[in-house]
Amino acid sequence: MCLPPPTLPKPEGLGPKLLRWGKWGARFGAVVGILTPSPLGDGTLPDWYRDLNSPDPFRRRTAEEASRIYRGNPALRPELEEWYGDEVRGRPQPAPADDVDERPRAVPVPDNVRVTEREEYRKKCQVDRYAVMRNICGRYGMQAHHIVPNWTLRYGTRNDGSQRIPSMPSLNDGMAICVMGNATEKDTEHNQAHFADGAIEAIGKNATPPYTATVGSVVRASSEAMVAVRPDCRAQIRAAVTGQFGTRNPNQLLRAKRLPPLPQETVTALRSGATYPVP
Amino acid sequence: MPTIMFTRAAASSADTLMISAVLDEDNDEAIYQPAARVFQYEHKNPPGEQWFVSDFALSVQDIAVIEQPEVSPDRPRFFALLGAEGDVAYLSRPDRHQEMIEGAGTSNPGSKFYGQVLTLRQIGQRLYVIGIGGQIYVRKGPDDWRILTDAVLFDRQADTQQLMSAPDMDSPDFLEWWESNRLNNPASRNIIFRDIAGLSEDALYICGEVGPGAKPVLCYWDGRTLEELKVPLEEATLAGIHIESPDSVWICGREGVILHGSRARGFNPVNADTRLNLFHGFTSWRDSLLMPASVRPGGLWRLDLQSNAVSRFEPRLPKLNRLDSNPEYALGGPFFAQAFGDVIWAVADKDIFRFDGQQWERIKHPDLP
Repeated sequence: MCLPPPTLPKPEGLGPKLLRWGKWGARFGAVVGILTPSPLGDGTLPDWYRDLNSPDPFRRRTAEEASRIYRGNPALRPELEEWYGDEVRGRPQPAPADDVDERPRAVPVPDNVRVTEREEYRKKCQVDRYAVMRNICGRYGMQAHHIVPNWTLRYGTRNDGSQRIPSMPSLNDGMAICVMGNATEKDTEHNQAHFADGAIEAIGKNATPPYTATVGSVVRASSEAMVAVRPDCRAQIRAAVTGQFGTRNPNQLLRAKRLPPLPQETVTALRSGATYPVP
Repeated sequence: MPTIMFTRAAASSADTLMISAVLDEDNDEAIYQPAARVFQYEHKNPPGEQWFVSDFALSVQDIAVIEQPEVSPDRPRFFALLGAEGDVAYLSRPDRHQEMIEGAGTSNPGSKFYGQVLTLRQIGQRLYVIGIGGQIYVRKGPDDWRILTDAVLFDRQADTQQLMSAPDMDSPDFLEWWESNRLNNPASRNIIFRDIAGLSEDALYICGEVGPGAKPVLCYWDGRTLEELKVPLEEATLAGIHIESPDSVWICGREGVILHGSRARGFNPVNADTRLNLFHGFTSWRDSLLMPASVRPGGLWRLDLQSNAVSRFEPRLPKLNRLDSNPEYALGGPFFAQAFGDVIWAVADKDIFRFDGQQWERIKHPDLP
């Protein structure tokens, strides 16, 4: 199947780099050949790793190019990942084959390798900004989960950055950790990680203004729910959230009702960064 | 552009499948949104007339096939949806009907903040709903849902008071307080019930977990009291129950856990290479039980009832479609499988498959490429 030509120009800035690296990388590649990278440095695999075996020739060639340059200069990895992302962004994933997956049984199958990688990575208990973890977790087949629920830090919708509670971390800055499975899928670790809601909403039940809870209580309740899912990571979870919220007023009010609408007096208090007790 | 993602499924026959979807796969808070798109697929209908759709203001946690003639005189066997806040929507005939479980959920005005409800089942003549906070409800009649037992019901009020009295998280005393008052305090047990099964209303198994971590919980209801059974595992999330006979009960869950036994003779782990699969449940197929696993590594797995050997189902499922938001999920597997005779349904985040006894067929969904 032919793919349609690009309808958007490539982002400016990285194109020239590609050209430069490409020529340079091609020369280097002629010496060392194309090698498969192994887990490196921080134990993670580069973004392009999976596409080294992509059935899409463009993805495969681009991944090979990135891999070749990378092997010559590992310090270029962040820029290479950015370039690689730009190159393949918007490009359709290869259509899945309708035939049955008949991988040979005598060699380790990819999912074995990936499960092992993932289990090794999970032991690190890495906690970082959502924007950082989103990519890392995806690389290991996991999803990034906000430890302190993002909905408690805003009075508007998820994607409306103008309706966030002042002084609180943004969607991308909220501390996150990798969890298994989709949040909406039953029985998964990610689904369970969302079970702090009951605790937070119970706090807001009798609050003034209604449906609010202090930073201190929301952070405690949500950290506890996260520790319930990953007790092995309790120290890292605590360190990350106290690092992020420790400098903030523990009595500032956050949202404690998941589903809209919120009363006007609650929205007014949240918007103004009100603290408990509200005069 | 947002694309749908399947989250729950149930089949009523070899030809009829119901699927619930969230409307935006990239929004992990879709778990909160009372906005579900529910599809029904009729395999025998001519092309172009196979899909039916309806939107519900529910966060659908389960789909069940139930038989309640007084609720649905024109179609006694029908689908029902369970919403996280305790709404039960009957897709009955001639009219749809909806009930609310008083006290369930976390957002409804009458909520007691135990948590969401997760599973709806019919056992014998009765309907049961279970969920977070040790919630077990039974339907006694029209619009009449009651707590089956408060034996393990979570005390949210006491929990909230204790939480509010905690030292600041960055104080030196916090970890000690946390360990002694919360993590290792039996009074703070918040049991998550995930599945319920039984051969009669007086012989119910209910499984789940309790934190911190995932300590397995398996209970038995004899019609009068709830008994917590011993599980010989330190850590496990128990997600599915299959009752083969009164003496042969199967339980599965996360980390590749499979237990076999009964209340009378106890439960023991099945010693097999199950890897770390999250087994969501069982469906009986020929001389085996099939187990869908969405992650670690995921796939459709088969437990041979003669040898207790566990292996991937052959022929293997076709490759899964990738999530736009996370291409790595292509390596996962189905969260749902159900068999009728030789036919098997399997549903994953972006895929629907039907096995006719010989080969798999990918069922094309109108909203997905």
